[in-house]
Amino acid sequence: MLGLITRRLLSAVPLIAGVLTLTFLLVEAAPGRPADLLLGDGPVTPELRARVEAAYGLDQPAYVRYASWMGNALRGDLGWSISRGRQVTSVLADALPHTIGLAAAALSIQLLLGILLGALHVVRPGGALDHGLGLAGLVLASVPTFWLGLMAILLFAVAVPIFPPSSAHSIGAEAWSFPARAIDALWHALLPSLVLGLGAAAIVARFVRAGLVAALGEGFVRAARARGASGARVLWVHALPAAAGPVITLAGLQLPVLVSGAVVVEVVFGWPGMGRVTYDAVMAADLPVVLAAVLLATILVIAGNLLADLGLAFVDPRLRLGRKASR
Amino acid sequence: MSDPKLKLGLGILAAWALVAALAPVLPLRDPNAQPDGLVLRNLPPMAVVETVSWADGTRRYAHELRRESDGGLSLRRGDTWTRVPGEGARLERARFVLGTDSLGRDLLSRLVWGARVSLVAGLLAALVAVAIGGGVGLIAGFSGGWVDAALMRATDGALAIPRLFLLLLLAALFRPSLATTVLLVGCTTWMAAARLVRGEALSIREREFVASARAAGASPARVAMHHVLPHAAAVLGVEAAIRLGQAVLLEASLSFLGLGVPPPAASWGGLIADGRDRLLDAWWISTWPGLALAFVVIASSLVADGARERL
Repeated sequence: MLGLITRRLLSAVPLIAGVLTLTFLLVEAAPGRPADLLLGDGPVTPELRARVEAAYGLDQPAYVRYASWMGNALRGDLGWSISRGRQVTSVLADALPHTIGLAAAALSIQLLLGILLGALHVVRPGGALDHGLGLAGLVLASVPTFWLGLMAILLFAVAVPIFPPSSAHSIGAEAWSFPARAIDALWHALLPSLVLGLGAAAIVARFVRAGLVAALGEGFVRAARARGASGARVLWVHALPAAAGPVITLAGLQLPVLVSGAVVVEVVFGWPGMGRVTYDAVMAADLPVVLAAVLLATILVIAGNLLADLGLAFVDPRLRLGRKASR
Repeated sequence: MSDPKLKLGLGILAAWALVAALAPVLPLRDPNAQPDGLVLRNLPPMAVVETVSWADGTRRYAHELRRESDGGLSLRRGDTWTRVPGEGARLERARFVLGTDSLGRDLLSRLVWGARVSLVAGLLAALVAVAIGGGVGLIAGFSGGWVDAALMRATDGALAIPRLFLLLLLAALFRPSLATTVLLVGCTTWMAAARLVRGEALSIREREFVASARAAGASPARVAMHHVLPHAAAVLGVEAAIRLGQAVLLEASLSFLGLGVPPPAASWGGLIADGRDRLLDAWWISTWPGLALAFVVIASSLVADGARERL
């Protein structure tokens, strides 16, 4: 297990270096000079331009800037947010927990609902319920997330106002007791995480269905049935664990999609996470925040993938034992 | 099972393509015209509006029309009545099948003209993605060794970067336009195609006809293009169908965020964004383009599903 973690962490190093290099190259390739963003549109004297470029090290040759960009990032210094007048790391550190919370809630919905729907599928494979759920899933997975978000706000925050239309907490919630704050946070998170998780839940349901159909035909399931295990027990205890592997792999592969989707959902719901912050930064031409957000979002995905690998090793003993035997 | 899916999906896509292609000749209002911001704004679907038109082509819209005893016309816009000449005036009722947006633009024509932008952007982006992915996969699968290893590591790395964050960065660096949107979406979605084609190339490379082509002295490039690529075409086609739906969605997300195809050009994502602030009093503005998008994505999934079952 430790070997797996070490190996994955080591393989993340070139990836992070690659992301840093890619973002640097993209900024270099962009039209205009970085100083333009700082100087704005007004008339600028050459002296002022030269002073700004010198202050930010923009007058250095590209390889020097590349080295200092890499070096600073490795030391955890991701620059200065122009629009917010704070360290980029502190801006993103405020936003990151919100995104992790939203993504975790959406992931839970995605897995729980997906497994539940997948199980409903195999009540009678090929039956009306199976086909109906398949169709509903196809529609859910095809509807644009941001549109689903708008419709959810329209229905459940405007027409029937039972959920808040935006933000992550009520006004003045900071002064409340912890349980009240927690309930308030959940109440605010439910709609956005549902919107973010529903489409992926439909895809998970498809995989669960396929896994269960395959598992239900296996010898160990027939053996369990022969021993007199109930239908529910056969499904949940015997067949589902066998179908869990591909689902976890899928959840890991879908992580970048989840984090991407969080951007749109956060913008629609005014959720103060990384997507919202990045979007605001793009609008404010605050490049350092955007660059750091790309890096941080990638690290988030790598961390999530590592968790998926660990989960996989947890549900599939062959992976754990196989690795130990080979060592 | 496979044929109905394929047919239904292709049918929906073909219908949209036809509508989009025929947009200039269809009897639609100008999608960007704002003839009357007061009378025509936020009209619900199927709304009917009183209009007067004259022989010289001018047209007025009104909340209420009244013919006066002297033969002239009075029309009411909001709270104000105005007198207009009555001779040669034709009174008509204009119907807005899908309603109008907050600037009084006709949503049906915006939806149809938006289909041109969204479908063209989606199709081109899908082609860019499949071309890049196909190229990378072919080179990787065919070269083997360190080239293969390096290209596949790069592909894995590209897969780990959340697409929309990268697209936000690119939109911040390059001024958004239809061309950049297509390139950006295409350049961030090629990875799946690369993996698929590499897999195909690896398996085909060992087959006898490839060995005999090599023995006959064909260059590696010729073998790749003439012998391997045609066999990978089916897989690539399925991938292109999936990519089309996803590219249309991604373009819509970008346009929704205001970072895709710039206004006033109508694109479905932009239309949804137009209606975002008007959800309370004009739900229909965002609803139609969302449904249109969902139909295209569903159709592309159906095509991919159907085609895969046939393979």
